[in-house]
Amino acid sequence: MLMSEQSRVSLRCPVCLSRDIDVVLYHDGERYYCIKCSYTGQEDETRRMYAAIRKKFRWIRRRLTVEDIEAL
Amino acid sequence: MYLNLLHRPKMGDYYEFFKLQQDMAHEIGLKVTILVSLPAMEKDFMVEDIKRYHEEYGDEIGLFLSELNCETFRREFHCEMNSIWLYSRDKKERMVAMALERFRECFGGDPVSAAAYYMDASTMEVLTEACPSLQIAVCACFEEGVKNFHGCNNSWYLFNEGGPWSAWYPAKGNTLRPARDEDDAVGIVGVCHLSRDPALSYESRNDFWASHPANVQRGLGNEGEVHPYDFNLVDLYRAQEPLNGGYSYYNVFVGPNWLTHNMNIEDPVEVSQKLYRELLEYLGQLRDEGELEDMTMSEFAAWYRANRPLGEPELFHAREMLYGSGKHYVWYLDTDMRVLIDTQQGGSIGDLRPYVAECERSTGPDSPSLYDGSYPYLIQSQYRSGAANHSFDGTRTTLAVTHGEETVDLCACPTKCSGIEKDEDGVHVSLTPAKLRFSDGLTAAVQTTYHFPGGGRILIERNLAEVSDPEAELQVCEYFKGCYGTIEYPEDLHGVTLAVDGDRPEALSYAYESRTVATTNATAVRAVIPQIDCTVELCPADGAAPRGTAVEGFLFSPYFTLTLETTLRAGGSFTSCLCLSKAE
Ligand SMILES: [Zn+2]
Repeated sequence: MLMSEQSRVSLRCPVCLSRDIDVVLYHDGERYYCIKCSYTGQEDETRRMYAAIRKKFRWIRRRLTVEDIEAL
Repeated sequence: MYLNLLHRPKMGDYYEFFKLQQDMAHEIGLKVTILVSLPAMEKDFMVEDIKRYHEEYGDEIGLFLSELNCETFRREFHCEMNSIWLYSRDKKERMVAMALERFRECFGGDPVSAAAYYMDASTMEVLTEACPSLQIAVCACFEEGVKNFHGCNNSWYLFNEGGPWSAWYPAKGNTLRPARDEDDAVGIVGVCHLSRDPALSYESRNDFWASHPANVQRGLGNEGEVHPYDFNLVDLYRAQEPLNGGYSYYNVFVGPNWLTHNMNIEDPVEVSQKLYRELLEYLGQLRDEGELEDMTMSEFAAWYRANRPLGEPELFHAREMLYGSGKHYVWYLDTDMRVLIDTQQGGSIGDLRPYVAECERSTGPDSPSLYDGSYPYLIQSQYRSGAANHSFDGTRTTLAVTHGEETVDLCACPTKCSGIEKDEDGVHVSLTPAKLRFSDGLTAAVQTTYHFPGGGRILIERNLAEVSDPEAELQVCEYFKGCYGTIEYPEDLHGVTLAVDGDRPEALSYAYESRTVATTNATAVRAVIPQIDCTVELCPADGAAPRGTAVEGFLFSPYFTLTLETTLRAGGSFTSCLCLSKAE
């Protein structure tokens, strides 16, 4: 398998990820891009999109004990 | 709760992260089972370290069969695939023999525990024959299949949906099916790879939502170092204890590749390591509080054998805990079936696997199933439409309630599980009333109870608890829409027989012609599915229903539908029996 330095970046495509698909972004300098869809963006934009994906998890910061779970 | 903490050494730079995991576990004082692969046994320093872990800390040493690829292996098999279940039986035999021989050389005896992401029937048979000392194996991943395949760019060939979520006695012929009796049993205890979230593993990827902090990071279920979901999932499993004779089981099995740079995680490596440590610390805390007992795999196998009889039903009352829906799902498992009750959809069945049909499943190039180890479903409402969205509905059950010209489908009436009880008649799952409102202002409430008496039967009891007009008569239709399959795409239904018993018994052979057979005074409506040796039948629990139908589909709706219809007034009830049996 080709594993060039380009493919070893550690950001996944936020568009594909929002469809529950892991696709590691390639990059050309500061610009990241997806080879499965047409997403392109810089790292900060990409990370903002992760934050947007997390918004659907309304209880991401909520600790639920056994008692809390039983009361749900 | 009983805990198995499982670690596995990995080659190259990953090895130091295995040692980090070991250090964390030993600092907290948790018992570990180390699962050692063939490549790891090729490395003398790893073997020496593992022996020392065993001597100093009492770590159990087991055999890992999901990593095979090393020089010796390639020389012998000319293949780099790590998935033992996807080789031919002949190769499985040679691989198991090679691994066991090496294990004996390294550790001076046979293993008592083993692991692979999945062990199909032939792997299981080969392994247990070659290794009579084996007590327990990690041998399946709950609901791993279609959704992970998609999630991994259609490149992850691990299809073993339709099995148990915790521990069970695997049956001969199909690892995912719980054995009926000793003759039917493989002879070891099976446990799943990881403890998955039984709500989110049904709705989305099971490899995001599991007892594996890095998997949760992969799913973006943490915010940096804030990760309550990892602890909530532990507590969700603890909450199951009252349903299953006071026990619950949890395992954590995180590869060292998740504690370093990982292409599916955007958090810094330090965060991944911290979250793992904090999960172990929480498990250690529960142990200190007397809420959890850490065991090696073989210790758990001994406990399980002594305390869980063959054939005992298992339940899971899942609550969704991340989106904040609080949605309830109830999973029921026995030797005849696995059932999911989707309470959000009025208490419909969202997934149904007929173990009573005893579908055999070996994988490998010498098997007709090839890569696909999943146990066939009759209903899978995620893959096969479920309630209607775009066009026709698909596999599901529901109750349709008709008042005048208007019909309300219970799938639009959310409920929750209000109680689960066990007595000499079986298991009883009660739901909160589904509230119905018709356009003329009439309101009604239908309270559903599922009874599981065993023998492949489910009694679905519908009580018309309230009607705003006590004189109103409502038509009710118990509705089962099914097919068979393991993945999202339809299989060939030609040759399925649909039949009704009653005043006018009638039958047809499925040919996608959109025909209906119907009878008054229906005593049974059924489908016989020779492709999976299964008969599914709906019959009134008492006497006959005024009308019953069996409906053939067409190619845009490749399903069959079974219905029983009656009339109810306030206070009335209608109980149907959904019977699964092996078709001869
Ligand atoms: Zn993309």
